[in-house]
Amino acid sequence: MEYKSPAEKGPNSQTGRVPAASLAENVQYMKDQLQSPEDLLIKSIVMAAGQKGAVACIDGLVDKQLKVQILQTLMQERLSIDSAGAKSNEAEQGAEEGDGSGDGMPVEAGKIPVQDARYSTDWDDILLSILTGDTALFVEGAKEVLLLGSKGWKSRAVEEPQTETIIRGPRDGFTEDIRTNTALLRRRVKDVNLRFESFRIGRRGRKDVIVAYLNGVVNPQLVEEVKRRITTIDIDDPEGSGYIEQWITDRYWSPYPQILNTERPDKVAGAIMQGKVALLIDGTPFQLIMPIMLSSFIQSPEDYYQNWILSSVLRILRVISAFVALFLPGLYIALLEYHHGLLPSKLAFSIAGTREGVPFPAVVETFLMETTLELLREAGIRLPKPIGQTIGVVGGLVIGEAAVTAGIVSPVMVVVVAVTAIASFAIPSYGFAVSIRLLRFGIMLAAAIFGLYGIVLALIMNCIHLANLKSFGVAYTGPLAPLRLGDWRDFIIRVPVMNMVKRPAILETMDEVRINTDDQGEKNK
Amino acid sequence: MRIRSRRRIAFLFVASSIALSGCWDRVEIDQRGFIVGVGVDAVIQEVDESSAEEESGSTPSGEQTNSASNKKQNKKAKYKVTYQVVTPSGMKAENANAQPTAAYFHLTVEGTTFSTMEANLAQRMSRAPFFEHLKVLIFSEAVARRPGDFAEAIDYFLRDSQMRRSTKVMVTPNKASEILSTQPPGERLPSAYLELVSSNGANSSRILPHTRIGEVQESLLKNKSFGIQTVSNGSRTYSTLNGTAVFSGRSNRLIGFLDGRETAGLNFLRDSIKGGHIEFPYGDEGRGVFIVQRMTRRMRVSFGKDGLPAFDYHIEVQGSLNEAYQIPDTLSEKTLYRMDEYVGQSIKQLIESAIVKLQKQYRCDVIELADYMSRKHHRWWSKHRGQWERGDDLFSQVPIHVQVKAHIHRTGNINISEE
Amino acid sequence: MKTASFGERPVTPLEMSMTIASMLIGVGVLTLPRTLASATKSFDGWMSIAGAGLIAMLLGALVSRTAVKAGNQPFLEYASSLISRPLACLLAFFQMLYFLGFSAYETRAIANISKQYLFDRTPVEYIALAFFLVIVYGVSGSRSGLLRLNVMFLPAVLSIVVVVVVFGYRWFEFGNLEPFFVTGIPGLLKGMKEVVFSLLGFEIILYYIVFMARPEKAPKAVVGGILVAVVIDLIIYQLAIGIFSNVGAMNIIYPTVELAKEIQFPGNFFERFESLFFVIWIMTIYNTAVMGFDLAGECMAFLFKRMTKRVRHLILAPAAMIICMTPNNLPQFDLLGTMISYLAVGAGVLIPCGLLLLSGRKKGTAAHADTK
Repeated sequence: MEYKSPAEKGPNSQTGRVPAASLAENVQYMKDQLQSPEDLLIKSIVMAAGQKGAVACIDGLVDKQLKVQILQTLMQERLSIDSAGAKSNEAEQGAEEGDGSGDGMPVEAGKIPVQDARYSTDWDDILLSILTGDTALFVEGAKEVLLLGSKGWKSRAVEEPQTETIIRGPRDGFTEDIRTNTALLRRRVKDVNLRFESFRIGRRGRKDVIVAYLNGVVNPQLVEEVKRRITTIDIDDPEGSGYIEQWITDRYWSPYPQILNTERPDKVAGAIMQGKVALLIDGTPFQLIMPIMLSSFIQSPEDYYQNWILSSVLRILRVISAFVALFLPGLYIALLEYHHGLLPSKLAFSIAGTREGVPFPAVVETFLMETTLELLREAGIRLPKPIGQTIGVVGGLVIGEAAVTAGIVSPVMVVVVAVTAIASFAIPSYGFAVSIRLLRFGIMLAAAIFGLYGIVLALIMNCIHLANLKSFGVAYTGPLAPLRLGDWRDFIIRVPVMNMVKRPAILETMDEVRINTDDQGEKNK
Repeated sequence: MRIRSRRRIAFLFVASSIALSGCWDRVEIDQRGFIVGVGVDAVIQEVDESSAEEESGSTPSGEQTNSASNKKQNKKAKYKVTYQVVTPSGMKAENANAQPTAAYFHLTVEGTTFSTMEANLAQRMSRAPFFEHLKVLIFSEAVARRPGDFAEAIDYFLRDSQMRRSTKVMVTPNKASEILSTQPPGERLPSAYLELVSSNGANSSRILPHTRIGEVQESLLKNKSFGIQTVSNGSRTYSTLNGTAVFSGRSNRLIGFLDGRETAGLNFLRDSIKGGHIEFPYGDEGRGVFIVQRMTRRMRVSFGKDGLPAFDYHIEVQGSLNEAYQIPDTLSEKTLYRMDEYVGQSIKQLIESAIVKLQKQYRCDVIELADYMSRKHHRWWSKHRGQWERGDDLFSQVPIHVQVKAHIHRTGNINISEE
Repeated sequence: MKTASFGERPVTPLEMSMTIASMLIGVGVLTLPRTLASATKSFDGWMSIAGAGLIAMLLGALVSRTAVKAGNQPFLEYASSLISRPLACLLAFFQMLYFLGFSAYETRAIANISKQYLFDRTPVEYIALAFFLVIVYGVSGSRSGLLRLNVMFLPAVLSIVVVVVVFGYRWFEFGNLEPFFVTGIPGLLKGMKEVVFSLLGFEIILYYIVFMARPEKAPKAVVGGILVAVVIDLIIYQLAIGIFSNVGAMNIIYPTVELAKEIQFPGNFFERFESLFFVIWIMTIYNTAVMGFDLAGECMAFLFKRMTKRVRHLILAPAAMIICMTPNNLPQFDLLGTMISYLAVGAGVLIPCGLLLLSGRKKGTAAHADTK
């Protein structure tokens, strides 16, 4: 695995420091560097040929069985050791050094039963490898160190994603382990062109990040741009995908997420197949997809598993729910404070009737209730799961009912708040739902100042912002603006699968055609 | 980046200055006095204070009536306007056992201009009068008859930005305030009730299609005669919508009324029949009721020697028999044919009675012949425009011929009910 | 290897058509039935619309030919290569005045209408100010963003027109359209003038053509955009006449808004439709105004080359606000509109057409005069 990173050297790196030929010196150096913590295991061994050696690894990060195997192999008779430095030609460094015959690693990598083994003469590399779960073999008299891949730690099993549950479709979700995740992805995309490019970012944290894309489909400029942005990350520890997302996003002050995060491997696989780029990040189940458009938020992988009519209707429903979640409280304010003529007569009378005796103006009432709602949500997340779910229901019901009976708010307000909340839950993307929750308060403010006019102005400002917004160079409002009518096949309406012939034109993919029926294939070539 | 953020701060400053100074128009919805109906009565100059008091006493209990007869105003006052204001808390249908509060109350104001009356209203109401939910506008005969008053009153209800062009207009020979007090059980607002009744055309041929205030303006602008729905005998539990108030294009004021039968005739002429019953005689003894389901009207104009147009109406009505009394064998071809004849005759009678009244008595072209002429024979019309209802009064002279054909398609579930 | 422009891919002819259309659909349509009904009799205004539409399309084609001629150069640079820089500066000044006035006029119109239908006591100044602030916010973003905004809003506008038409036909009386062909030529011409004025604005192609992938398609795009606006004018006009009759339309200040007020959905579930109509229409008027403002800034940039965008907007915004607030009543406001329209005809249409002639002549004499 070859890593690229701007912060190749950690802050405490001692460039050029190479292991000495003395085993004791090496072990001592390692102990000094790591301050010999409890989880650092250093075992001195005597190998079959009688040579002294030491094996170092971190407890908990290595596969115990593998380690036993390694040790067995090293100590067994069969392992003939060429003390004269008959190390095979693959160790270039040793060959280059070439000053002393005793400097090379006497153990041949190919003879140790591990998947990957390599030689190293760089202390930074060695230490980092140990810290990531490799086992290092030091041999008396050899300046080279053999690094044996023995990673194997306890990780969470593949479970159903917590945030994006769907009814029909695969139930596996990403885990915190990047290897598991790449495997999940590979299992879905068996194309030889699937590329994983690894990066290691963070001066101290040293996170593995993999740029995944489908070569020959994705636009190479996009990949370049993603890689360029990743290499600009220079932070001590990008914990989780959130750091990376915020670092490489186009406009960080926008309330809209410009990178999609998901726990679902099928979503990532689908995106890669469309010609997008995915970032797999070690240590988090949330992987990133880019570039995205606004329409990505109303799309759920489920749409593709279901009948196209149903999923089109569902998408329309989600669009409506997004609008409701964004505008309903604002509209409530505008209609109740300004434009009483715009309500249907009967509704106007009955609302006026229910509001009689409510001490607060509708503006205050709305802000009060919406804030309470947000409070409930926040509290619901913090609480242990079984209670958390109940607090949503109980809190909503009890507080709403009590507030109405107490005459603090009008019943219509409670309806509005409840509908808004439900509508915002119907949005498939959590990140987008959060931005809508945020913007809702802006709309409410605008409505409080200028009524419907204010809402329109706020809407226009919002649209300008969206029109100016880009996600990795792709216009955020596509395929609506810029208008790509071909992409409308998978926009709000999802046409039958047979008709989704092309990849999204807005992504400007290298291979535009998805379905190669004979006639269509010819037409498109 | 820094420039941008500075700009945003500047923007925020301006925005917050707006925010702080904004909200001029913010009014709570429960602070609005929704006015749903307006009844315009005339103040007869001789009327004295006591009659006004008397009137306020006659309004039903549960309503508040503020007789706003300001003495000073009364001297010059032209209109006495009853505003129907909704009390929203009364609109709530809950609490069946609780004492139901009235859903509305009336305020009566006198004055010469409507805006000052609205201002007067505001002086008396805790809530600002709000007209956007105005449903019906009722003029009493006295106001409608006085020259100039009607158009003047209409102006306010068109010009004010709170008004909608779809507000229904009605004329009553009785007092408008009485009509507004109609409250049939089950309906909470008299105005809403009147609005619903006014669009009952599909059930009765004697209701003129409802007149929207916008249409009235168009008619006034064109100086053409027009009809307005008439609502009469307002009592506690019902008002009757029946008949037509005929407004003359010459003076833009009320000339007279058409009764229900004549209104039905007018509806046939104007092709505005949506349904309704026609009673017809059968022979000497028999009677039947015909239900109109569809009608088609064709009209033709022919010019006579004197250059006068003559109008031919061909009206075809299709429908079913709904009631039969002493009619033999309703299934036989012969009876059906005869019934068709009788129905046709009855309809023709209706129509002719309307024509006679309009041509001879009122001399008002509510039939919209003028429109027809201006559309189809524009050249003739532009020459004789001035002579149609004025001058030579051509309208009252033009011959109008009517032919009615009726077809009974269905005779119901039974043949005959008694032998 | 394929290179991606990613959304910055210059606009297609269709999108340019949409831009032109949303520039033309502004306040003009709101009052058009009234002005047209006053000039013509009965339903004859349709001929005015059709005639004016043809004229506008012809002019649009000519102006966009000029724009095509300019090639990759900005229009004003091209103009100065034809008619010396001082004259081009004069042209830029007039165009700046025109675009600024246009923007101010649209703003005032939306403020007036909002005041009429949505507000009671809120001063017009504040309504306009809020609108201006949003305009300034709009122009401070990218210009291709503005074009995208057009593309986003236009479908909403078109669909609202469709809804108005579909549900408005309930009150439509065909009789109101008759008699046909009764207006004299002068009336038709007067009507035509009004319609042409409401169709001005296609001059923006001179500046926005640089965004087009294939500039040679500009004339077609402009004609298409004008066609959309003409069709909308025609639809609204016939509906207004059919519902209000000629006399009625003549006496309603904003017939198109009243049209939306008339609409009732079956079953009254959505009683007050005009609110939605307003929302959408404010959006399209915003498009018109923001493009006007943007181009005013563009012209100013030509005049004062070293001025930054921010300074330009800081100067232009108060100026536009002052123009916007100058008229005191409706007649004065109409006068402002007429003045701007004449300015548009002069600076936006005739001069570019003249340049086209000039360039043709120049090409005749010196073949490679303006290749640089």
